[in-house]
Amino acid sequence: MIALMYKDLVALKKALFLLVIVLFLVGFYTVQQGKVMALPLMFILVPLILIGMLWGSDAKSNVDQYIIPGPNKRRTIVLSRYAFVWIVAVIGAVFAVSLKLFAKDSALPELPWYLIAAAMLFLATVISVIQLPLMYKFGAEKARLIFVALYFIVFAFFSYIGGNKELIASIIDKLISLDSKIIGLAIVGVTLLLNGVSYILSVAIYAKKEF
Amino acid sequence: MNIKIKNSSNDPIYLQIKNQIRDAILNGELETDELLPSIRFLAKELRVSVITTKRAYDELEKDGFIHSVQGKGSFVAPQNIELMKERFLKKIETNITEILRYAKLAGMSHDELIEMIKTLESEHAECD
Amino acid sequence: MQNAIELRGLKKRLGNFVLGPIDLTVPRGCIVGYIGENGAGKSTTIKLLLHLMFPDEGEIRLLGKDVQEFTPQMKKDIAYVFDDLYLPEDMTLNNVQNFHRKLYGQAWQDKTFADLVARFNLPDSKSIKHFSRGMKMQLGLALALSHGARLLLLDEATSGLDPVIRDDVLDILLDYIQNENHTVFVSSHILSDLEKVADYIAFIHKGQLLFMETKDDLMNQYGIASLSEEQLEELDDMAIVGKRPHQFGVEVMLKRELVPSDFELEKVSIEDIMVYMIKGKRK
Repeated sequence: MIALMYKDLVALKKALFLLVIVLFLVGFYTVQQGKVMALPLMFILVPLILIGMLWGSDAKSNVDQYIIPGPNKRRTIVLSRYAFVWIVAVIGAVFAVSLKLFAKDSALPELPWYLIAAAMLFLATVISVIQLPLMYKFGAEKARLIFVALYFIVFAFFSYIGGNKELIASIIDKLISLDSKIIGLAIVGVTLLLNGVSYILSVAIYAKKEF
Repeated sequence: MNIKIKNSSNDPIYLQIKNQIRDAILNGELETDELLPSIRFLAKELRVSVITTKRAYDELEKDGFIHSVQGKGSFVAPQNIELMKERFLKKIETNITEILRYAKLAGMSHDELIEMIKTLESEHAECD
Repeated sequence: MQNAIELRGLKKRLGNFVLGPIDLTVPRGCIVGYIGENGAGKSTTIKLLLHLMFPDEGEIRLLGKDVQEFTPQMKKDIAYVFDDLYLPEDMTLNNVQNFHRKLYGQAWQDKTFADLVARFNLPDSKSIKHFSRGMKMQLGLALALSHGARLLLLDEATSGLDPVIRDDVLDILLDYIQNENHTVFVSSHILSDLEKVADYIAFIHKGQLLFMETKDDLMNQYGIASLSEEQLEELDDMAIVGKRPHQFGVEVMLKRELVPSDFELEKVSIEDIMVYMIKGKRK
């Protein structure tokens, strides 16, 4: 597992270096513009970019054919992909919470720290974990198409609901009346469930894959 | 000890190896109880299959030229030179009897026969 | 005595192509040349051995154990080299070494690896993107031989490389096989190299294993003759394995035991056997 992640890091060393520089520039710009609250949002994009890069590098070198016969379980190879998403999500959550606790920026939303952490974990992983099983099943190209289609469905769904303002208002009312701790727990629960299901699906797909 | 593999030879490779080791033992180049190279090492050096060298050693062992000790390797077996000579003499005797029979049938004289042996001998020497 | 490879009724369907059923036993301590045309099923077999593909039917045992039950620890006993390295191109040799050190843990042998790298004269800080095909294969071989594996599988690894590199590889395989617990299984359609060192030749044609025999027996079994059409007529049909007719006669590969002993036959090479057998099948 460590070996596999090491391989990923050195395989992408140049791209990662570039990514870090870009993130710093964007971060710097954001802070200068006084929009500190936008900083954690970068962590929603990073896992997606990472997964995309890892996938591209793997596909180019056909590395699966090398690591599957090696001393790895297929499950571990899948786990090494998810691990990157989870690590970035946790860093994002810690970053967002510390921003909230130490930055004392008025622009930050008035939310308790655990809600911020839960939201970060959810937002940073959700897209990746929907995408990963699709990528394992259909390959990166088709998965992207399916994902775009999925995006439109979700978009259509929300614009339909958006038309129904009373429904939204009532949902928001209900949510606000709930204890924020319960909301936090619910978000964490949904996140864990999504990640778990996604991981199990990916493992099952990858276990049957032939190279 | 030198071993030459001739791909052009009609003899299979195992036989070439066997004969050359046998000769080395008979002419004293390899001494009694001397350790022979391992089957795998010989195969590696000559670049032939392990099965080939194994077969050469198996046949040498069958003919009593070497003996193998499990885990230690193959050694040159003590050769009873007198016995060996006797065996060769017997072989020569049988063959000459045969030759004489044919010579009689072909009506060859004694001198002609001797001449033939000399010619063949010199030809053989050239081939070597 | 445990066999290195055992295949029982192995079958795999890929579209129109069917591999097998293949039954094959490779004893320990030998080099096996697995030969056949391109598309005969060599790579498919090796992928099945390595669990990159799954058989439709049959059983695969490596070093006495069913491949389905292989744990990561057991997989360290198997080494493999493909026609390409299949590692990310931006890695350097040092990166690759660190990767394998972490991957193989205790089993990794730094010294063996360093010796092989020195022997091949491979640069350690250049990324493998800049390696030639020969260098990639040498690195692959060095990696394969540096974790104490007992079974080495080579899939077209030396195809298309220059004769000097191929010759080096032969030496290395012969070194490896000095340990009688080590076994090498080489698939190739280039045969002149194999001819020197292989103990057994397994021949696969259109997914079917035609034979697996010791090379010595194989070479003694057949002979080649140049004949006239009339001479060919007189021969037992069963004796003819394959023929190449031309304007001035015909060249045939014959089974030695089925032709008169005074018949003059030339030695065959493995390549001859392969070519004549495939031509014989076509008629």
